Amino acid sequence: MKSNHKMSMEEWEDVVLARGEEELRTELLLVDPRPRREMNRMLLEAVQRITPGYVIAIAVLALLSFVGLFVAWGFQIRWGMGVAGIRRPVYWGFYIANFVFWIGISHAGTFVSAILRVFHAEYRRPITRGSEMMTTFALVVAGMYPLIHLGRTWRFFWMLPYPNQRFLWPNFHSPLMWDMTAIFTYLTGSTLYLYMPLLPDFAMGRDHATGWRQKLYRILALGWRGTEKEWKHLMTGMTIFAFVIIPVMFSVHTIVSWDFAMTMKVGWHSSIFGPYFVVGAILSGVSAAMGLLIVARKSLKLDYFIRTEHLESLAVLVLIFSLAWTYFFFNDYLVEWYGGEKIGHELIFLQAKGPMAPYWYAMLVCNIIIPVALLWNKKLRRSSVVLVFVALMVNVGMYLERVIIVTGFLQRNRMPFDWGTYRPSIIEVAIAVGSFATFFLLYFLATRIVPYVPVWEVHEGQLSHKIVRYGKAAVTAKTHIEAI
Amino acid sequence: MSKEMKTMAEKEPVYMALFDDLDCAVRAIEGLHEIGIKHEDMEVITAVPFEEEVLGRPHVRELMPRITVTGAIIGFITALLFLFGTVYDYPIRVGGHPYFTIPPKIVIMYELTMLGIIISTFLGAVVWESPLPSYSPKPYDPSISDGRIAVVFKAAGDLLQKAIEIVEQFEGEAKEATWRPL
Repeated sequence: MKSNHKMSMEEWEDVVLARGEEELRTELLLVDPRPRREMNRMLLEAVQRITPGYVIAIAVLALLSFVGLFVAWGFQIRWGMGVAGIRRPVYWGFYIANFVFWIGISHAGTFVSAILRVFHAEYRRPITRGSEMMTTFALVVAGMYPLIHLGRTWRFFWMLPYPNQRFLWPNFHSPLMWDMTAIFTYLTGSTLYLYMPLLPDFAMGRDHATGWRQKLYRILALGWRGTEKEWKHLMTGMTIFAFVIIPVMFSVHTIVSWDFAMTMKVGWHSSIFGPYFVVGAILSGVSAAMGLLIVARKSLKLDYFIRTEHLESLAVLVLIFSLAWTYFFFNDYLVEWYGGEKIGHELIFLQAKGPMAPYWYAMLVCNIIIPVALLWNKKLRRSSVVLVFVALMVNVGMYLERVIIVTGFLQRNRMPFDWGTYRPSIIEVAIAVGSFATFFLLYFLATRIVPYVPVWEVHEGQLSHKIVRYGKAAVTAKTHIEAI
Repeated sequence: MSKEMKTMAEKEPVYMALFDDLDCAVRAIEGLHEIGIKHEDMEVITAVPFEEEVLGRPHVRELMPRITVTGAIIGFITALLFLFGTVYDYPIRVGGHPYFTIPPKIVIMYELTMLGIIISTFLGAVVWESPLPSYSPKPYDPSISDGRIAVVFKAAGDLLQKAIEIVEQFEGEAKEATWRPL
């Protein structure tokens, strides 16, 4: 029977507002609270999710890591650097390109976590942990490359400043020494910055997990209870960390760029290299974080915590940094082109029309055309498939950029007799593949041990957010409880 | 927990009130204080950080800024020792740079100062101020990490009876605290 009841204007507004509230809850994590017990359970179930696919992936990655880092690197240690493809004039090859790439990847964790924390960007809450883990493991992999590149790896301690009978002392005026110091500082800072906010989550795991995880969480929680004093000092410590780690992050990749820019090499000796490298690092790092978060969300079934809003926010950052990278790239390129120096033109010719051209154009397509063409569209940047594709392409582009800068520019020098070509040997390729596998191996193992989402931060965010009626619309409102 | 409370806990039992709601917990804290339980004899344990103003508790004093500055100074002095102090023992002339030049040394000074801040902040916040690690038994309940708010207090006799009434008035659950190894 058809109802004759007609809705009053007020009732109609209530329906519209209720629908608006429902849409907001579906979209935004912080206004869709669930009991803390349920969130804890979801997180602990996630770390225990060991599927056959996961086991196979871990086995394959472990095998590739073994082949790359034990077999290939072991072969190089046994037979010397002659097995690598580096020859005069290209003394810095694949190893250094990979080193720069991984340092770049490491920038995202700090960027996503520290900068967004400082600016009170609320969407950071569920995605900081995954990004910080990426930073730590990327730095571990990056830190291996100088040792691999040393050749005589077992003499790495010669770089350390301590009194010795060799009458050798590290040269603190050398950018390579600056680099080692900066990476050590950044690795220490990133690891502690990852660990500190983990204390309450480890305590949660200690209280509710079982088996070996419970024992591990108990040790790692350090006896955390959540007293006023503990929270106060943790929050103060994290605020200090956030402000300190940002300039350290900028310094690390600037110093990496100085490894190149401090030389008199054409193409490298550029004052714009510092910010150019930093922006490129953030571009590759944020897009890698975006890709990893999508994979982790799927693998750990964390759809409640990691939502389209978070991925879309990262996609916007990727778009912004793609445009920023374009700006710096064009600056660097145009100055070289305009300068009229013969050897500079040779380098440009090498990239635009010479043997490096396929890589150079692929780099431009991956770093500029693909992200800009896809991410300007709201519908596309809300698609996980598109975002994974963009993340992959941007990182291919940034990898090519590192290879071109390191191995390409060294092929042309001021004196033509010192020109040459470079092709990585199978050993270099195997080590590179092994390093990628090691990174993914460490990351995916960690996802089954470390709570992937800082649940207390999400809970805190949910306490400070609510939906209010503003005129005829339902909108979110934030109480600045952190700023009291 | 204050040292005084720890000592008392050895003689008399400590009680724990558990609340599901923040407002109830805050009102109970206020009520407990009004009947004569000092703030020093109370401790609030939560699963999320709450400012002292939110809980109506006295300000927690901390030395973090001083610890951080101390770390920065130690880092900076270490850098100076490396950069200037060792030049006499290990003179290295590279690229025509003078031994005692400033610009290329700034990078190491900066990095080691930052390293000093980073290490001192971690040690200050976690080890010195909190202080952790501490696995010895303490009043705790696993339901706290599920979002419940615990108010740990010490009371005896009539005061305890009044305290329990206040806790129950604000929908809390009062019980003798379990000292759990953490």
